[in-house]
Amino acid sequence: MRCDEVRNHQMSWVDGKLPEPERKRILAHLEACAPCREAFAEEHEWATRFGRVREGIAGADFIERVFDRIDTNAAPGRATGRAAIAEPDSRARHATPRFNAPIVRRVAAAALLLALVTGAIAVATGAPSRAAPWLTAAATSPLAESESAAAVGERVRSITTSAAGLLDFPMRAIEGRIETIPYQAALLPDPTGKGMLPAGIIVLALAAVAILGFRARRELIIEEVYRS
Amino acid sequence: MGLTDAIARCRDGDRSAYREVVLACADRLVAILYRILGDLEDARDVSQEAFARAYANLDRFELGRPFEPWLYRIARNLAYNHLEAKGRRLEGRVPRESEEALEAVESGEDPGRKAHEAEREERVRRLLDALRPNYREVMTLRYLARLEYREIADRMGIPIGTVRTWLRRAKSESRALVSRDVENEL
Repeated sequence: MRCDEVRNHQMSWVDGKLPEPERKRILAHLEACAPCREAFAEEHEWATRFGRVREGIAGADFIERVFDRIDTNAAPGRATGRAAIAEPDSRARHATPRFNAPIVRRVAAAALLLALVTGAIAVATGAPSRAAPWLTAAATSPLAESESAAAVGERVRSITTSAAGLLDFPMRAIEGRIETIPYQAALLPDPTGKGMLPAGIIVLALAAVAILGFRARRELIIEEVYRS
Repeated sequence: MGLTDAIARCRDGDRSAYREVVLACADRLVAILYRILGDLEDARDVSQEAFARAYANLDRFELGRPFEPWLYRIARNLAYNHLEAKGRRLEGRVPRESEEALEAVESGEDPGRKAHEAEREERVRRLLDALRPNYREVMTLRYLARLEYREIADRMGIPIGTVRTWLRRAKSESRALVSRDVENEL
């Protein structure tokens, strides 16, 4: 059993509600896993601190009051009780935050898939990628052939060692002021020799950043909704 | 099975079957709402309204699914609206004696145990009062209602990762509050 599986049953464990086979499996895991033992002990401590639901806390006449309210609510032009302040439109504000997580997940997954497929095709065929022409244009550039690898590497290092250079480099490449691409060899090993592996890694990195950004944004949105 | 059967009978027009449903869920719902609202009478009031609304909308409830999460979602909407209507913010609220604890003491036949209960209640009350409502809710569902992460996520309508994050932050804030309290007492 993995740690996350075990920790998904902590409260059932604390309450002794687990069936015997499940309990034995968790026990076996706990005997071997110190972090989970600590986590279980902590959960037990918190649960103890909070106590149990007190029997009878609802009050002796609770059921009668519920039925009174049912009758009142059903009556035409019903009078509202103290708690009957949640009208349908205001109620919606406290429902699940309006954030379409499945769409974001699908977009992120599609970006990752695209990056993986592009990378895989490039590695398999050794062909330049059409997805990143500015990275691969120089593969056919005469300048790439005329310039020694060491000179190109040196030039690229000088460009990419500063933050400004990093930002400036793609722009200059797009404008055609840099016609060569072997710089990639100076930065990352590339078994294809066509600059495809670094391109794939860059796309993957961008996709990862996008996913993390979306996740962080989602957390912020949910937090904001609940705070308000 | 019992609840499902009772709800099915309610939908067939047997109004008295709803008594079984209320009886089965009332204490738990009131206890959770009491932690969220910080007022026992408000918690009872909101719970009654939630049961009444659930009854009025029973035809929308999908038989075979658990009833309590559905009821809880109705109740929490009412509870948050209630908090909003009262302009109540837990941050900065002056901690006060726990009503549940006082009731327990007044009605108890074992004063020693009840006093201990009252003290524990008071500590939990003060701790929760200092947390923001969403953290208080997630703590209550976890440690009072004893729900697993997935069940909490389902009831609150948030991702399971958010449940874990909020619990971690709520506990961290609680620990800071407890140590501050201890320092103040010294």
